[in-house]
Amino acid sequence: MSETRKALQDVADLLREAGWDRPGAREAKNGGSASPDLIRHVLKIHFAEIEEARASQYAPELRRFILDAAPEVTVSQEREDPEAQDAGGALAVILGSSAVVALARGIKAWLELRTRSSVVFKARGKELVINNLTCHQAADLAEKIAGLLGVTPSAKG
Amino acid sequence: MSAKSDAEVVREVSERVDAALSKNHRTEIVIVVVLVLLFLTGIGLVAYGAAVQRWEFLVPGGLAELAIVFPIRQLVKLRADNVRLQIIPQLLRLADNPQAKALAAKLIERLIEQV
Repeated sequence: MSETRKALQDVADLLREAGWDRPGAREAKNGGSASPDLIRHVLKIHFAEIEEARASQYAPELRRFILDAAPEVTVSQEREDPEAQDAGGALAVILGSSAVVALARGIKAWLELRTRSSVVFKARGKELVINNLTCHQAADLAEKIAGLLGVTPSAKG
Repeated sequence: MSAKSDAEVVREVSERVDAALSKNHRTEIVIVVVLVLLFLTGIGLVAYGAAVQRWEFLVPGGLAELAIVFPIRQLVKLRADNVRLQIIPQLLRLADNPQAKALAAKLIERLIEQV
């Protein structure tokens, strides 16, 4: 067996021991269930009914709004077509349940700027379409996003 | 027993990777020595055969020259392995949430299958 293979197996064993291969295992080990805020949710955001070029322009803009409102979340711009040359017209947001309200506030602020835009949220195989007409308050939006993620929104931030 | 902190895990992994890299470096030196010897032997046989007009020396000389392809392939593989090893600590440092950690652990399993 090569030295590289041995080293990789040792690394895999180390990670297994530390519980890296099972998300949430460490929290369970350190005393029952994980705190809701330690559980991170992944939310995908797409733009409905617009061209890809426009979506690539909107994505960094919305990302800025989200980060201004909720600096604790991780937002990355993603390409829907992996072979496309642009930076991507979708966003992937990783957040804890306490950040849902702040995230909704950021998205609502962006929707006020781009009044004709529709945003599609995807999480856990479900979809939610939001635009300026269907969402009047950030609190409504927070509730809808929380419903999509299967969490209870808390008013932190 | 409490779980190891992320910093501890990354430190242990880095140490293991460094040890493997230094062993690979020693193997690399051995392979380079074998490669040079094979090359010199082959070229020596060909040159000697030509000098004394004994053309049958060209056969082992040519074979020795052809045989250097094996150490070269080993060297290329070793370099690729080293790159794989070197990215691991950096990758683990970037994994700051459970999903990223699970992904990193899965990547290591994939790397084991490829090596």
